[in-house]
Amino acid sequence: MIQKLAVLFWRDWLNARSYRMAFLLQILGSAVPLIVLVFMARLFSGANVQGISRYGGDYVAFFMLGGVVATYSLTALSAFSTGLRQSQTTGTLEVLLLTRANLFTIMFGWALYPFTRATIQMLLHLVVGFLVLGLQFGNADLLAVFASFILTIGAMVGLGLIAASFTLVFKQGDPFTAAITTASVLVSGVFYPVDVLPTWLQGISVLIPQTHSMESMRLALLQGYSVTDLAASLGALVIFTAVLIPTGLFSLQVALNRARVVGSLAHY
Amino acid sequence: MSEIAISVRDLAKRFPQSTSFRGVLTFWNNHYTTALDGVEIDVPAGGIFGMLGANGVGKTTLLKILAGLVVADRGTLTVAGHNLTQSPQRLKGFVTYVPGEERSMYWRLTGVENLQLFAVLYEVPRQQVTRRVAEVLEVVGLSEAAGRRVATYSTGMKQRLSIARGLLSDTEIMLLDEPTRGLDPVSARQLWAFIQDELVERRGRTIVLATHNMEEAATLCGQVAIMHRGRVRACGSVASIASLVNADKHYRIELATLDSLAMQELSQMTGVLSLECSPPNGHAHYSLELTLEHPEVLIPQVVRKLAMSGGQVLEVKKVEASLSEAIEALGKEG
Repeated sequence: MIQKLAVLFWRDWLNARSYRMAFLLQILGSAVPLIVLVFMARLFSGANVQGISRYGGDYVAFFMLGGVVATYSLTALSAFSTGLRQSQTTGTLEVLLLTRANLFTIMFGWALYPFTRATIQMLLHLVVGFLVLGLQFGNADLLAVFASFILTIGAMVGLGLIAASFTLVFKQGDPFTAAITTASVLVSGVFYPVDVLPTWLQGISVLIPQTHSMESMRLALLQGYSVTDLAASLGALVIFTAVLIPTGLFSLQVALNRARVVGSLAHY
Repeated sequence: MSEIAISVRDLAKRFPQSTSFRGVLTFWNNHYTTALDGVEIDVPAGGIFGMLGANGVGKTTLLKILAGLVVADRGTLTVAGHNLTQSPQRLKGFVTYVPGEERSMYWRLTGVENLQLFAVLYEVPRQQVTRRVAEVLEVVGLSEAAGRRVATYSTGMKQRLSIARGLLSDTEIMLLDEPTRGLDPVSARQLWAFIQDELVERRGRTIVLATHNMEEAATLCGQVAIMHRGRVRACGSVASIASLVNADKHYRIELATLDSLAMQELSQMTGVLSLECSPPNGHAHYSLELTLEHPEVLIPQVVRKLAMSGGQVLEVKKVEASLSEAIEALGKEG
């Protein structure tokens, strides 16, 4: 399986590299959020924002981590359905399914390259935050950061698989990704803490995995909270992962079976 | 492998027509298109079996069911002696489907990169990937173009690359879906030679070939199934299929001389279904083509009449219908 995943990653790397202009623009485009961060750092330099005091009060750090987690989770959410969609439109879905690789290997193969790109981008942001913006990660609890990171991926992969099921059935206009993306930007605390939302929206935010990802990542990285301190957030992410991954795998299998029954595997 | 490579019994498939949003959302749907309706075929091992018919008669659907890409509504499917009706996912161990369309490759990757990718996905042992890829590229005559992007390949080259990918899977049965679609006559003949010489004779593969090209079927296929509206209308050798149409009713009479009055009388004779005469254009004799209701009775009468009118009969021959005539006739019957 590892060999198959490696060759699928290699395919996407070769494919991405072959579009030279897009590849270049992608690299340049990843610098844009960094530039925004630098200007925000100037604006908020030394300001202590009361609403985010439990995260250390530094809005630039708060905003940067929110952006990093949001970008990463949305990559996980869209990677599977984007890969599937490309495979539908390029006519390669059927021939991939005819190989000895199972559906899940093929699906994870589609996600590897975007995940790698998002990870590099995330690390770049953290390095720039540390070196250029002077953000302090000295107190970070690395075990808690790692746990939060892995569980965020787990929960978002589950959501991503469900989104891919919609793509397999509806081809375009997946309502699931749109709903999750909108909800996560609005109520999961990317740009502002969840506390500022009306109570009913706070209730909704609890149901979104990114809310717990942002919370645990910020507190672990900026305030040094341990796994025990973050039991509530990490526990929520464990539940999301445990529920969403099997649900995603199941829904994908159902969608594949349906496509085989209605003969729509080659449709796009 | 058993004598019969593939056996299909009472295979049926209907596709729902998504005429409304409800149709997309639900499995229950009142609007269906029948693709296959009780198909029965036996594909002998080790030869080329043709599935012939016009566009939309169900050839591709049948191939996709045989490949496990589409699930049949009913029927049984036995491949190499294994009943795989309930486990279509196991079909990939026995058959390789080579789609007819050009889009099934990664066009931004080179030919060799495409094959290396699929070799790993087909579980070719890691240390053998390079050798096997080079070997199949050599077999399909693409070694020199292997380092070029697939986007720069001609239609024929893409078809050959697609077959090369099929060879990597190492299954005994290959399903070729209109392999010469879009090819010029010279490239098509080269591909026919490759299928016959390399795939069948050298490698002993069983080939199921879907085509609407009569010449292709007549040249390559030991047996053919004529499909029409989701059903197999006839199955057997090309000669036996052709003989089904106006069997024993079609005759050609060669004459040194021919009287026009005799021609007129023949055309009015009871039991003469059709009559055509070719003048001695470049030949030293006339050629009379007749379709007769009861030839055993009528042929002596016709010959007598021609002789009596001064015609010199050189030869009387039974004529087999061509495959395309057979398909046309079988289609009209249904």
